[in-house]
Amino acid sequence: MRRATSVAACAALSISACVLGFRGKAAFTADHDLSGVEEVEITLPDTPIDILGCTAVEDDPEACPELLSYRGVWSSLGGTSNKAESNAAEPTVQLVREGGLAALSTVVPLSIAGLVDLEMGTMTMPGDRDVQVYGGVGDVSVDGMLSTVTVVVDVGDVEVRGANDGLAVNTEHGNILVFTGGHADLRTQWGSVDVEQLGGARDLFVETENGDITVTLTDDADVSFTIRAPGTIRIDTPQVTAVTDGSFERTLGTGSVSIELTTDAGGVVVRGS
Amino acid sequence: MGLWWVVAVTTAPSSPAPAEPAPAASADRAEQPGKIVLGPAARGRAVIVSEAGEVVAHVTLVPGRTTTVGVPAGHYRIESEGRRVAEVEVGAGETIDLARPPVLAAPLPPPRVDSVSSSVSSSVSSSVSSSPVPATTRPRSLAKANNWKRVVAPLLSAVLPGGGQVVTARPGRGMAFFAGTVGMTLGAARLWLSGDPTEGATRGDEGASQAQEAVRLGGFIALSGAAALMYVGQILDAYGGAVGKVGDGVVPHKNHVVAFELQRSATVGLAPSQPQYGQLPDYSLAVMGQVAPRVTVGASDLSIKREPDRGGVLVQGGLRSMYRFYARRRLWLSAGGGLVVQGTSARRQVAAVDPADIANAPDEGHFGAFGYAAFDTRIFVLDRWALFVVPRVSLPFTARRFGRDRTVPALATTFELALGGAVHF
Repeated sequence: MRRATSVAACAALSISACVLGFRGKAAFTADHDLSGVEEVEITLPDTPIDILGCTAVEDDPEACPELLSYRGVWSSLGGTSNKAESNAAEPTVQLVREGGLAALSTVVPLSIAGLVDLEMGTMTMPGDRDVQVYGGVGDVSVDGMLSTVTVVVDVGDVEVRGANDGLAVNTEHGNILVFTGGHADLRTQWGSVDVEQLGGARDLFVETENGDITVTLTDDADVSFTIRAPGTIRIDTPQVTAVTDGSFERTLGTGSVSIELTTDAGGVVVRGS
Repeated sequence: MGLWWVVAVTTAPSSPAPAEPAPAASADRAEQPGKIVLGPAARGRAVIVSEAGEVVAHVTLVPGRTTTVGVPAGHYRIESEGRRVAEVEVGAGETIDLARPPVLAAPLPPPRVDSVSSSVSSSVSSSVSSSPVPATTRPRSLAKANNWKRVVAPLLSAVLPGGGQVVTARPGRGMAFFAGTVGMTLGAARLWLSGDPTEGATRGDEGASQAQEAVRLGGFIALSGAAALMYVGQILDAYGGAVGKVGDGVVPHKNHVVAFELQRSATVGLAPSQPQYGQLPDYSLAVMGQVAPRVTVGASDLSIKREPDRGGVLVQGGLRSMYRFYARRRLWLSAGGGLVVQGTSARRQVAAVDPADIANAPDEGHFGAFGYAAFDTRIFVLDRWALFVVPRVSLPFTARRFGRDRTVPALATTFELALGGAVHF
């Protein structure tokens, strides 16, 4: 019986396809000085990214220091547990500055490429800096950044609150949720888009290849609508009430604010707040 | 295979012995059996194959003797040493005398019928003759008439799995190939698409269970490999059917000098975090020489892979030696091992504000090596063409790279499943 079991185990192992290894982890924290920095560019491998912008308080510099602060964990693989731990300690996250621009990125030596993975914790920085985020697979959340925000990610949901000076989002696979008082250009190939404009009306361009679009407007006095969707288009704003499909175009007032919404597979809802 | 029936094997002077009438099998085509006369100048081994691709008889011929094979009326192909030497149409009661195929050259022992087997009933006799036997009817080559099948059958199978088998009058086999190839391809696609592309994207998401993910990827590796093997195999089989090389008609080329092999080895590897597993495929070529009977040595695991994220390239090659310890009919079993080295050159990652500084960063290199033991199971579909499945266990002495930032760490024992095809010359 024992022999038969051994033979069966050996046979199963010999025709299976697997790798035997160990996992390791290495945590890290960092604070980078952002004094004099106007724009921060963050380029990270596959990891969720959360950015929290703080607002300066006049009498309390500690409330919002001029720092980019974060923590994270490098996960790794190794043939032995010791090697796994040492592999986790090799990669680094580095910030370099040049004039008013700072760039945060990772440096992974070729010898351990594919053996380490980053999980970044929440990053905090002054909310008045422009920020650009470039990621792979991972949700992105940006909250409290009041200047210009750009997010480009391969796979992951994107949520932005703020970006009053302008917002651009591009994700290949993920939903987009935005609360902004600025102009916005939002694109996803596979996912829905939900936008709520804060303050006055602003230009809004939304495009998804597969998903619904929902827009909440605070003002439609001078809006020019251009909407294309194979599904139902519902407009319910103070000046317009319509239900249609295919396309919808209407200019209200001067039409100085463009609202262009396009979905290749889905419906569109526009409502007033 | 059906029942084979030998009426007589005799050795007698002068003209061919009369063939006994064949039984009433295939009655629709042969109420009265015909005869195929081989010799007396022919030598060597010959195989008579029916139109349906079934081997009617294996016959050993000796100069000065004639062998008469009684067969039902129909179309037959005579082959020797894996080559077609004649095609004949035998009518009811007709005798076809084949005059000395030149390829049957080697002197051999007295004539004997090695085997007679077929669902087609036949009779065989042999006799000694000092002069050619007068033919009662004309020999007729129909090679041209069926030449188109050699081209059309494999092409059709390439487009529609199993189609070539239908052309060569084996519809059941064709249906089986079609169902198998399409079923396994759809199964592999289903497994691949069932993966969640967003796994690992959300913080705290545990993702699919480890067992579920490992089974999914392992199943994909097995099914996709099997589908590829069956696809290639049924194309080769379609050609074999067109030229009468199926079943026992396939004679593996044991004395080959060199074999060219294309393989995909794959394994399910650990990933550092979510998703916790990934597929690690390795496509490679091998050129194996048979340096002694049963022993092959050659350059193996030859491949070039891209490292697109780093603008680099990986070059890999190794040395392999195998010993063939079993060879029966179309099945070969071998065991052996090899050593593989690989070198990677890619752009060094640097932190910089200017994208040009990142793009123009200097290259860095990585050297890797791993050894492995392998068990090769090889089935010949044609005389020179074989498909193989090779489980192997490897040990990386350094990190082993698969390209595209997929890596197995040093000293991580790896079980791989390699599948592929080989041609032997």
